[in-house]
Amino acid sequence: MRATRGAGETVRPVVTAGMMIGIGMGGFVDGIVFHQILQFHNMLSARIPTDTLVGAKVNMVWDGLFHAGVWLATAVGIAMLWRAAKRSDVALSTHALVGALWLGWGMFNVVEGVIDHHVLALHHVYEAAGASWWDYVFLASGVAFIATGWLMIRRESRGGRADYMA
Amino acid sequence: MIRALAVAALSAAPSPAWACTLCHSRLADDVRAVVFGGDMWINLAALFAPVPVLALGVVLARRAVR
Repeated sequence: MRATRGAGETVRPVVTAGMMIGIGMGGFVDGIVFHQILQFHNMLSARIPTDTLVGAKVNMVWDGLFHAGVWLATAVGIAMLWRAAKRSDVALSTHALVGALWLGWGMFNVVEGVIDHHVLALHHVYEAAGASWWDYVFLASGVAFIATGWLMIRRESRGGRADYMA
Repeated sequence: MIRALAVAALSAAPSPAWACTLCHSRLADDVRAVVFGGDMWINLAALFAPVPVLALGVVLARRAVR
């Protein structure tokens, strides 16, 4: 363990990797919790109703493509983190990584929420209610995650904490 | 081991399972007709619409960190 960040060290690669993993895992939370466990909505449930077997299966196909996309984002993030860990000029800051995970998750919620729920209306968080306060809570959670993550990263980026490993 | 897996895969492939989108059943035909229908490309574009915005967000946040 090292007490302070070394001269010339950066957290930038860790933050980038963390954001990618956060985007991916945020997508998995959406897909697993809202699509599969609670079955509040599916990928195209506002366009293709899920109250028939065909409709449910068609949405399942699009859910699968969505999961493939967030899996890819997670895999890319892990590869980036692995590369960052092998660099001598990168500070492996836990605080920056966790902040970046929150930031990525928040970015996913805000971008997916604005584009899919409000602009394109592919689905809504609670499909049975259509456009509802659920959509705004989802957006608000994204903003809160972004703020939390950004504050954690900035604190680390501006001087470092004593929580990263050599 | 590989031969056993290949045999298992080949023997399973033609079975008309209800759950299989690629299998030969009335349901599978209906699902394929909708998935590969006229709005497939629109749906695909809509699905991936957030990707460039998220990529831009990652790039901008990366630039702001040192």
